[in-house]
Amino acid sequence: MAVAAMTTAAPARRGRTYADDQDRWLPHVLILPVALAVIAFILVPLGWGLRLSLTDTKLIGMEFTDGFSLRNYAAVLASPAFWQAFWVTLLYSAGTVAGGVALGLATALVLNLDFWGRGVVRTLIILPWAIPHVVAALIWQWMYNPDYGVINYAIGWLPFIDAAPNWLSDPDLALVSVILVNVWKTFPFAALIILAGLQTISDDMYEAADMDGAGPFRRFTDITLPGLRHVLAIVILLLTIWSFGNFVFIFLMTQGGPAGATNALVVKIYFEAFKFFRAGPAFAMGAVLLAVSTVLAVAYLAVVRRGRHD
Amino acid sequence: MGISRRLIFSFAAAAVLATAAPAAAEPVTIRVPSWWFGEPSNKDWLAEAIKAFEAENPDIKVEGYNVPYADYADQILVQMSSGNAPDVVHLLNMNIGDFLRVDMLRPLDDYMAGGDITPDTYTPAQFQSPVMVDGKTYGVIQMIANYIPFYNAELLAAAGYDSFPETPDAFAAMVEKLTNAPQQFGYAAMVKPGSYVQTYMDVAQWVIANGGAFAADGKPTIDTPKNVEAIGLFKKLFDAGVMPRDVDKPTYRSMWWNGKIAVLFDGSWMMGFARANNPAIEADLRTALMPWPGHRTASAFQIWAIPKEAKHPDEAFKFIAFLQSREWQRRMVAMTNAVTPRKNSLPDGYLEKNPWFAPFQEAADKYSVSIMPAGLEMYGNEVLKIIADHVETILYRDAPVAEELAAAQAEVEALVAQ
Repeated sequence: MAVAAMTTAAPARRGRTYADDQDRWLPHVLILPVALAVIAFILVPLGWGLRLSLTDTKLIGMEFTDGFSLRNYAAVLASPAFWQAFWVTLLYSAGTVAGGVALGLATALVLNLDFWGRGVVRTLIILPWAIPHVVAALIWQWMYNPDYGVINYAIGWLPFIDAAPNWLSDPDLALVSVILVNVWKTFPFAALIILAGLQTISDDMYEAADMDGAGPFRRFTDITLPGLRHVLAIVILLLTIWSFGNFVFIFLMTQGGPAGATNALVVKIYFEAFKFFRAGPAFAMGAVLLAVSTVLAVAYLAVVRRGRHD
Repeated sequence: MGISRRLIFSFAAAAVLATAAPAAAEPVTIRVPSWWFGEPSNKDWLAEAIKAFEAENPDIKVEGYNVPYADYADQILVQMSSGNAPDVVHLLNMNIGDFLRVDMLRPLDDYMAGGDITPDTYTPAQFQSPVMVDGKTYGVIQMIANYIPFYNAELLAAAGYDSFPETPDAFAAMVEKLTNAPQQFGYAAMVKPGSYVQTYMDVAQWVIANGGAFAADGKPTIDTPKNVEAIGLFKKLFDAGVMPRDVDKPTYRSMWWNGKIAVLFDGSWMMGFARANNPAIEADLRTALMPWPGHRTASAFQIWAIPKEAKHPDEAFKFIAFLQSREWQRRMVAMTNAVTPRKNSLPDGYLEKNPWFAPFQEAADKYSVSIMPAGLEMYGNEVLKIIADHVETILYRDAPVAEELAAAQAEVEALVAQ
């Protein structure tokens, strides 16, 4: 009986231990410094900026007199110059993403092959990503120089090139030239992420397709691309977000010129705030840019979440 | 025991005195950011001047530090608006109006009253907008940066020129003849996209020399025939390939002192740069007045000002006034080859030793015209950018000069009307 009672009785419930408590509070403690930094250096300035975007302040932090209104937003949204800058930003982002993803995908496909020296090539591919923006901009500026640059020197050998292109001072070429530099800088990142995605696709699928007589193009469209769907979505969104707010290359290479051909929104915001001392409109433009970036970030999170569920 | 009490008392008294004494003699520190602290010659002159000023004023210490020219307005703006304004700021007639528009500068008239910065002793620009606005003085000019031809006589001689041309057409013909791109260019200017201040400055030299102006009495005059003619000639030379393209100012300046560019319109400090970087070229360098009738010369002015929120404005002005003394103005000429705002400030024998300087002095004394559109200084950078953007459209999109300047005129008129 006693034995039966012992065997049938439910095991005594263990009380909450210190380890359980630690599991509950430790993550919060560990994340606290980062959370405080995010609040202090991102959320508070962001809130301050949004507040100032509703004022007539001339300088950052300076007193304003006319109270709060949506006047800056109305003026900004009615300004053709703002929409021109927005259009340049869209072109810059679209060009960067298309070029970066296409080149990244092609590079990843090559790096996924088994060939001698693959490790070295994979390391070398990273170099553009590792070179600081300022250094890259200076290198490319000289490469683009119409009189002394290596690019014009190289294409000078081509029989069908009559005149040396002015890569950065021709308004029809300047944006493309800056986009190419950004593509060169970002494609290694895309290649690495896509390469990681390629390695998750099972070889069995390719072998089965081989047995069914599928050619390389068919294998690429029916196995590789679907297998990379989520990875590509993430890469596209990340490159879009980054290039939308990318200031460095345009500022260092053309400062929005020639004749406004590369005048992206971030460059325009910089001039408004720091050269013309008109912080209110600058913050309003920044808020519009922030709204677009937020939409993209939410889309990014949705894609990541869907990828996890799949 | 008694001894130890006395000892303790002595130590305590000494400690009190030790803490009290330095507090009473603590010098006031004034903060002076300037790009001159990072430039050869200028930094040496400032260092000497600060040493002498501190010796003369032991209660004031000068903390001078380098802020590069390209970042200067941004950094000062942030410092001022965050309540951490320096005591002295280094501005130009091209951006002082922006700082005045947002009411960030302190009037200096009370400090200047009774001093010797007067129309008799100083350049007229000291008493005109944007240094003096509505009867109040907001800065003191430290240096006149006027731009005249600085040319390589050997290159000219090789092309058959034994003197500098005196008309714009003759000048254009000469620089075309001197060009053998990409090995050698006849002339150089800031024809690099996006550098709107530099582009404006280089084009304004042509407009002003041609007798034109971008504004008069606060009214834009951007599309006048004189301006169209000047920028038309500039565009003609640009198309002829006499200037290196997509090259920034430091680079084409170094090309000049390395004998790759025949003529620059630049400031007197360039001789110091050439000596420092290629001493052998000094013997070939000459100067001339602008090759236009009238020789009008565009001038930028480097200005000291005091922010409204400066913590030590009295000491700051004392330092500014010290730099304006005849002794230190003469020393500045001797060390930096700068054109000073104070009249008769050349050191003894300076012109005999530096004959190339004479046209700079003559241009400053007789032909100097502010590079800023007269009366539009309060719109500072925005006006410069509008003009430079339209000049870029002329240069890079081949837009008709008159139409494009008319568009710039309309844009600036709209800005002023706001």
